[in-house]
Amino acid sequence: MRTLVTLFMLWLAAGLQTIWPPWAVLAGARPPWLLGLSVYYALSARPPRALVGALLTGLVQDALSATPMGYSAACHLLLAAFILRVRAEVFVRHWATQALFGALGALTTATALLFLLAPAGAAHWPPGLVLWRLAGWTVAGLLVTPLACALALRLERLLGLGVYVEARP
Amino acid sequence: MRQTQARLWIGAGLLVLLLLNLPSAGTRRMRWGLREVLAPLQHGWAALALRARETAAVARGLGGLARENREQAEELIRLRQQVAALATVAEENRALRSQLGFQREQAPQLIAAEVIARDAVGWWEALRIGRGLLDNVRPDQAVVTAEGLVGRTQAVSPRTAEVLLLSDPRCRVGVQVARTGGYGILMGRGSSPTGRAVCRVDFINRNLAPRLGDAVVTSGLGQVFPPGILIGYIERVYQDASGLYLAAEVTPKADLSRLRYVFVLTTDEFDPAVHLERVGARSARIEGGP
Repeated sequence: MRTLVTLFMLWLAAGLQTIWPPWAVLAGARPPWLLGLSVYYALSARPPRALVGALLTGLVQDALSATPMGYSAACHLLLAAFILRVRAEVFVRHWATQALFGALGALTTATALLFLLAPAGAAHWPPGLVLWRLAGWTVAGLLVTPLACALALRLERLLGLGVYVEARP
Repeated sequence: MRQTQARLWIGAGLLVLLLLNLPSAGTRRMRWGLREVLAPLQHGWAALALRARETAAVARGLGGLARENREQAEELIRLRQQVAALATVAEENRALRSQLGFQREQAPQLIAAEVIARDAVGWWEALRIGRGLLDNVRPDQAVVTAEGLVGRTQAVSPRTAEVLLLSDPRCRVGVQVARTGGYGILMGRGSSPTGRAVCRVDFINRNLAPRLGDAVVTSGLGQVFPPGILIGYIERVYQDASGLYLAAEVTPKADLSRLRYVFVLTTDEFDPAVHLERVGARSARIEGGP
């Protein structure tokens, strides 16, 4: 059941991310729903599930863009590793924590992809537009991640799936 | 427990490393598979989004729809008259070309396609359409709307195709300024703060200086885009860094941020057997992307 829910949420996030028109005011940044889902799993699931969530969201994101396979998956995996390392120290259910990790994740992922994709020609933008777009991604991550986390949590609770709570050290 | 977790992370890391080092044929198949699986779902999403927009339009008022209907009826009459006038010119042109012994040009076919998704990462100016190899769409075909050129097809799978938009820096188009006949090369420069795509034309002859508002059309020199397709209008003209040529900023006529339907231009005859063979073979020729 949990796997089915994960696949459904993956589809929902992929659909929202690719069909949503780009936000002109944020330099054409797309709302990073897949990253939001990855942050949700990293904050609130057991480590193996968080890992699979990061890998799957990254792979789907790569498949739905011209990015070489594995780039987004590597970025999401590193972000999940960082969140898993610090999550015992933060309020994982609070929207501010989710927003902060969403913004941080969006900024680092967008920056990493910018450098990784430079040889393929994706970084040949005017410098001002690059900075503006990075800021746009950060704001989009800040806004979308708490929403993605709330939706995913609501859906799991609605279906009666238990929520994993990590014991604090 | 800690050891198991460490093993898991090492395994995941190795998997990603493997993915990053897979030969392009392997990743192409994986990408194809994922896109083909997600394509029907994205069709569903696109239909839902369209329905939502239509409902919102109805909610805004039927008066607006009636006015739009009247305007479109008038436009239809105008266009019919133009088509009738152009048919005579086309016949005359055909007769003259035949007398001069020119090779007969094949009229391009239009394949209508729905936009089912946009690039998920955001560093590419690209979108995906719900037509692919099975519909005679191939890499490097021009994509247009009623307003003008939009871009070209890139990676194509059996049921979907990726369209590289004019605003992407990787998209280069051989162009001509319609009024002066001066040639140039157009490349994408992203989007303006208002969301409009911005392009730049380089290497314009200084003796054929364009003016603000001049139309820019495809030159047909690059083999991908047929000549004479409207791209947009010149917004600014300046001297390039070398001082030898002029450069110009161009705003595409088509609104690239709000595309719903596009047309792929093809001159090929459709042969299902050939296309099924192409799909089955999955040869390396199909992929046009990085």
